[in-house]
Amino acid sequence: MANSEFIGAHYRRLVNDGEYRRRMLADPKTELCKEYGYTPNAEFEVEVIEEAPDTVVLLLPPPPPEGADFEEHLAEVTQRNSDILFSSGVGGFVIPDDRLKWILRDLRTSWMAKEGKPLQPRCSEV
Amino acid sequence: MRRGKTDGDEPLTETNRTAEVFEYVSGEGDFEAAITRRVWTDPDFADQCEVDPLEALASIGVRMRPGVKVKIKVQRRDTIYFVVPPARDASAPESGEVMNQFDLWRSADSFVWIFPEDTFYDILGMRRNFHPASPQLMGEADG
Repeated sequence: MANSEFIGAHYRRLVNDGEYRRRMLADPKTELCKEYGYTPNAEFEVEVIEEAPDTVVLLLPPPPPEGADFEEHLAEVTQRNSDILFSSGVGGFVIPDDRLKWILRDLRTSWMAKEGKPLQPRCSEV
Repeated sequence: MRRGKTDGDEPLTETNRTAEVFEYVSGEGDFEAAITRRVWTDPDFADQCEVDPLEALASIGVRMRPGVKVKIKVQRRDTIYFVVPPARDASAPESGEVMNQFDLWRSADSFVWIFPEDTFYDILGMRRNFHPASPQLMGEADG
């Protein structure tokens, strides 16, 4: 099995196993952390976006941060479109804020370890 | 659908109401800018987008092809969005398909669309209909 095969296997489980999918939808943070063997120690939420063959999903940018110029910010973030066009389906993560970046990376690092494929230490640490 | 500016004394029919809405939103240039401005500045409209997205879109002059569903969410800066592929139809065999995957970082600075390829033309049409340069091009499509 390739190193990252368990990631694809997880998506297939979400596609095929209706009961598991329902649990993920009902409480995504708990279920995802359980799957990844991760104990959350930071404030964040997880929400599932379900793809469906007949459904268009729009994820609008959040209102401008305090102090930002409204018109400039509106133009900036609405001109930058990210179009994710799927055929049978594509899995992934949408990470709004840079603070969340390392939370997701911690989640994945934990998952790798749980699956018996821990990240190799850097050369300098060997 | 009429594209011209409506006369203020005209009775408000569906046709000129839509035309009026079109004038308003096309001033924005792009659909993404128009809907985002409304959502940021009009809490009732923002609520309606979540609860009844098709009606919310209709109120700014956008009608989806029957059968196409829409979900509208405003991203939250404290939330990671986990995008999962469509559920298997109960009658279909189990999928062993290799799943493509993506990550979209710092998405708060972006307007994100996730849509099936069957709606490609719907999205293109929706965007064109909003753009001020589009009416001549799209005129015949309105019947």
